[in-house]
Formats: sequence, structure tokens, C-alpha cells
Amino acid sequence: MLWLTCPICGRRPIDEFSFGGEFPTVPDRITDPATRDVDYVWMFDNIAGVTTERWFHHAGCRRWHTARRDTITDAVLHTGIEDATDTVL
Amino acid sequence: MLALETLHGTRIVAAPEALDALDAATWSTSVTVLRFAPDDVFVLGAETISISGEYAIVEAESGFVGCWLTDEQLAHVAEHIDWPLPVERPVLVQGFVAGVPAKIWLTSSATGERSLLLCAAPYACELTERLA
Repeated sequence: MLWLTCPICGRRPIDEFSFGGEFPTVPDRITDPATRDVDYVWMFDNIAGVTTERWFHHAGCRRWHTARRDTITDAVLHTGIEDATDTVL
Repeated sequence: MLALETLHGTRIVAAPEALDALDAATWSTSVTVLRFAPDDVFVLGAETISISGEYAIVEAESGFVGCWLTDEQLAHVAEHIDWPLPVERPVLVQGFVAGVPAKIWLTSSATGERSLLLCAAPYACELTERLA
């Protein structure tokens, strides 16, 4: 069973969480605001390796948090309560 | 079978700093302060609550049910939890209990350890049946 560490509640099984998708990042080379919005909402990197994701602890504190996870090994490297609008990691 | 009853309290959503002060305040033994999240607290048994946060939301809350557990009942509940209960007291733990989102307030008093099991009211029947 995969476990995630909720920054508020502690270590919990993955079925207590809902996956919120990749943490969106927009490349700097895209400068047009409308194009950046499209990229932010629709374009995903789908990385094979370490990626940053959003997770919602629906069975506990009911708060979103951010996790760094290796999609190959499923190892969770970091979790935090950074907001999605922050630049982190 | 557990007899879950409606818990009438006060729900406060405010800046974490404001709730830190509320959390650290000295309350009478009849008051229970449950910190659901850094910006969310549920207070049971308090007549009046003063909060300093400018944008604090303070509302009467009756959407939770719960009951105080005996040591035997807590041990039975713990068998339905995938994660270990912490040793330190007081502490609020949240997560699946028998597959139902629930919270347990673990505290100690002069008369011994006390535990309050609570969950959202719509889950009351499900939680009761699964723990029967």
C-alpha cells in the first residue's frame, strides 16, 4: 500500500487522499498571458521520474497539499502545504 | 454498539495565528478545542468565544456526531484503523476509521485518558454499523 504523509494529519494510506493532478508549471518561453493560461490548465508534463503533484486529504483534514513523488518507484520524497499559486521546490 | 449523538459546538475558520491563540488559551475542563486544520477549529462546551482575527468566521455547528469512548471501546476502534494511534496526549487524529472519515480526540485528565470519536453526521449510521 502506498502511504502519503499529510503535513497536518501525519502518515496515512493513499486511499484517504484524492489525486489533484500535476502541479502546473508554465515555461518562461510562453509570454502571452492567454497562452500561459491555456498551458497552465491543459498542458501536462506526465514525467517519468520525480514530479510535483497536488493531493487532497478528503478523509482527514480536508486540505490540499503538495507532494514530490517519483512516478517510477512511487517513492514520496516530500509533502507540504504550499499553495498551488506558489513557486515551490 | 456506539451511541453517536449530535455534538453542538462552535466552528471557527480564521487565520492560523488567531486560532493559535485560541488553541493555547486556558479553558475550563468542560471545553474541548479540536483543531481540524491550521485555519479550522471546532469548540465544544464553550459559552462565549472571542477571536481576534479580522476575517474570522464563527458559526454554531451541529454537523458532527460523536461519543466518548471507554478504553475498551477505543481498543476496539483502533482495530479498524490502518495507521497507528499516537502515544502523546492530547492530540486530534483524523482519517479513515473502518473506512469512514472520522476524528478521534485523545486526551488525558486527572481521572485517566479520555477519547472522543466523532464524524460528520451523514456518516453516523455507517460508522456505527461498521464498528458494531
